[in-house]
Amino acid sequence: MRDVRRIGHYLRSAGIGVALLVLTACGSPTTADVPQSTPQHRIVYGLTFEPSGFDPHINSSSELGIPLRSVYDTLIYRDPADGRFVGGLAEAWEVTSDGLVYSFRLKQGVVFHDGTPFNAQAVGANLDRITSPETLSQKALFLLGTYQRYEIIDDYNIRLILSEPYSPLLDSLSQVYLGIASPTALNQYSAERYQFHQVGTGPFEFVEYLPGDRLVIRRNPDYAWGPAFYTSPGDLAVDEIEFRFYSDPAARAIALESGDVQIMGELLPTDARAFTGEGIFTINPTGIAGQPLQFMMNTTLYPTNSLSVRRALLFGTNRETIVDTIFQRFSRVAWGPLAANTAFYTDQVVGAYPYDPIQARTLLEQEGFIDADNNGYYDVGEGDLEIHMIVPTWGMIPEVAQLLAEQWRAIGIRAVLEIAPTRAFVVDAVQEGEYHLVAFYSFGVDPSFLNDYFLSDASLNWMNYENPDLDTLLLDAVRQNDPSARAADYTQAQRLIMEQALILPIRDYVNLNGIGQGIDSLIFDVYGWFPLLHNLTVSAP
Amino acid sequence: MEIVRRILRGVFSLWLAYTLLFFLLRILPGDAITSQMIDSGAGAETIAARRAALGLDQPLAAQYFDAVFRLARGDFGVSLTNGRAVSETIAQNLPPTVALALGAIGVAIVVGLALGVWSALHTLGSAAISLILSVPILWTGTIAVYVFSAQLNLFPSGGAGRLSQLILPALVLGINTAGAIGTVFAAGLREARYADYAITARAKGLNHSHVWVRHLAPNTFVTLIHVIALQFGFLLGGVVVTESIFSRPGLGRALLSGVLAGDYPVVQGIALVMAMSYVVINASADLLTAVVDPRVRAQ
Repeated sequence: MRDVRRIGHYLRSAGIGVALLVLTACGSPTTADVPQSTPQHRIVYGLTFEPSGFDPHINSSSELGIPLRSVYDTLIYRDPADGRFVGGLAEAWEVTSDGLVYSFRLKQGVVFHDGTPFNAQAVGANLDRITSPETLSQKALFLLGTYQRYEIIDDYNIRLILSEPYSPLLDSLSQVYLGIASPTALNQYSAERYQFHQVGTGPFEFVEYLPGDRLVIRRNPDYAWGPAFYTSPGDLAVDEIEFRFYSDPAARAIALESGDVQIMGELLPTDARAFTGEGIFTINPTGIAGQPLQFMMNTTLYPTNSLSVRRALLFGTNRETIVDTIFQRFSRVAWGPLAANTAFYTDQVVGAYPYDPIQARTLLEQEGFIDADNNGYYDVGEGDLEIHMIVPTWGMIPEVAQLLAEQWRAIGIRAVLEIAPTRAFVVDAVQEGEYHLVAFYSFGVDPSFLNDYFLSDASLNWMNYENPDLDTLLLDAVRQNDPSARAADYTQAQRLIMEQALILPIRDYVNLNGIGQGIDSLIFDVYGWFPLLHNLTVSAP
Repeated sequence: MEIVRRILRGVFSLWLAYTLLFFLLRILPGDAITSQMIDSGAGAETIAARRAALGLDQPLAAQYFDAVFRLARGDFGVSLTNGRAVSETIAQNLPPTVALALGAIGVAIVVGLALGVWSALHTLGSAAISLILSVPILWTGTIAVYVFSAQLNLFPSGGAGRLSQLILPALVLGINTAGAIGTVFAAGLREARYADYAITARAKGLNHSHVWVRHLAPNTFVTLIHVIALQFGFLLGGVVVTESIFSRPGLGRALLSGVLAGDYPVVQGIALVMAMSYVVINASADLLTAVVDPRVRAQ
């Protein structure tokens, strides 16, 4: 019935639209005929694309966490200042020395937005949902690693039992994908309906989600159990936020300029640079932890099966120029497999392959390459020395690849680009096997994602690189509970990856957030994608 | 009898469109599950099990007949990415797209007719039509939203549901479509100008504008109805781009994200609805022609 009324509404407005357009080609805009609720401080926040689903237990996009990080609390949080683990819904926790049992003491007096109490049973119900095969979880399930089962000790104490030590678990439990939802609401709705009726304990309540149009959250007036870094924002607190979807990159800056949105993520670097000169909008470049924009190099296909050729490509790449021109100096140059704000990052890889085209040519000539036909490219048989690149269309990778092709011309290498418009195209092109370089990367604070790329049998090991030593380091790093032991493993792993020139890192990923006038204290968590909306205020008048 | 034939032809067109799309989609690499799960940390067996659970491991022919049988029962299937019924996605996205399409076709008719007359009278009009035909929506849309939203603040930059949010996208899409209507109208007018009945009318001493309005214009309407109906098809293509530029919810955007995500049921469902509306509109155009043109009625 509501749908029918809405259809009627649209048809009517279309009819009026036609009539009005006929009369006045450019009439003055009429005001809204939709009743507006009147919260005190309401803002519009632009998201860059609409995820296929908004359920954090099921879906995997980063975008879903931008609103939902503030709808759910997690058992643990990471302090945005230093990345330390701090209490969330759990006020204390202990890990046994064998790393197999995690005991959590839960906060008391916490209430879900639907009025039901939070307790150990609720945590159990959430774990049951995430691990149920029917849920078809795309991310949360895998964040749990070797988690096996839970034991409820009493209403406010719960234990998680693992089959093998899995040290990234605390990091996983601090991510929105493992946010704790109201078991009552989970029971009330089917898996695909729950995303429209989400209930958490966080500082904002879920109001509505209309696919393709908007998602709205409203401040939870009863919120009093947040982590220490959630400061009370007072009278100027933003109390309602509408998220809208701007998939067209050019439309983002325009929406911000027109005042239709107050905060916009992922501006184009050129737009962000233009805004910084104007002083009307603040640009908040937020580093995203995880892998940098990187090209994996295929170590089994000639000529990148040669270490010298891979190193020559690194020496022949002027990353500063790429960052200056394409990313408008908003990004850091990346030197290794981890962005600088990722846990266990080592700066020992910095400067390993500075831009040095002469060194690049020397390496290639030592390898026996010559340019007999004098056409500027080294020869391979009858043709030229060619590097075939799989180039996804996101993250400004095509622009980077174009520039790489230019730069490598100077070291006698011809780059051939194969554009891949979707992830499926990338996978397909990789499976065909005829590539030397392919761009792909993941985000996260705990570097355990390296296992998906660099273990010998990893599904994203598109370098086809097999090294038992690297396997040992990476596997040990997720079993060790001692952070210094993990740091030692990851330092060695990062060095080994660069010594073997397995990847060509370009730049640390940065989310260029544009913030309109009148918005204060927008901060992001350590993952970089997720704003801590609890602290968000409008400027004092 | 004619009506039965027409309906059968419509159903055949729809079946052909659906079948072609079904197999074309599957020629593209990968499906929704591959895209979603590639960097989830899931092993190959998990991914294979997920695909099997959704029937994606079945032979293509089996998948095809299953889909067609469901469709015959009115079941559009469920999305591979979020488990929601495709019919629900269509119901949610149809109203804003219908609003945009109606608004745009209204603009297209008004602007197209004006351009047609201008072009029949003056070469500048023909130049205007050429310009409109050659400029892509992506460009006009971006410029329009930049000028009218960001700079002049006359209209919102995006969204749907309010009239003010419809005007700019309807103008951009409508003017883009107006070029073809203008071309045909102008050609019709030029031709009719020297037709026997027009010469007779002028010879009778009827004044110039009377001849144009009473004799020339109505005789081009029959062709025009068909051109407008055909343009509707191109307009549906333009909807995809327009909705993205103006961040409007709608079938075009849902279709685009469905294609990018490899969400077969969503793409097939939306494409079928678009094809259906195209078939229905063109059949209606035929009926309308019969009503306005006595010659067709007589046949």
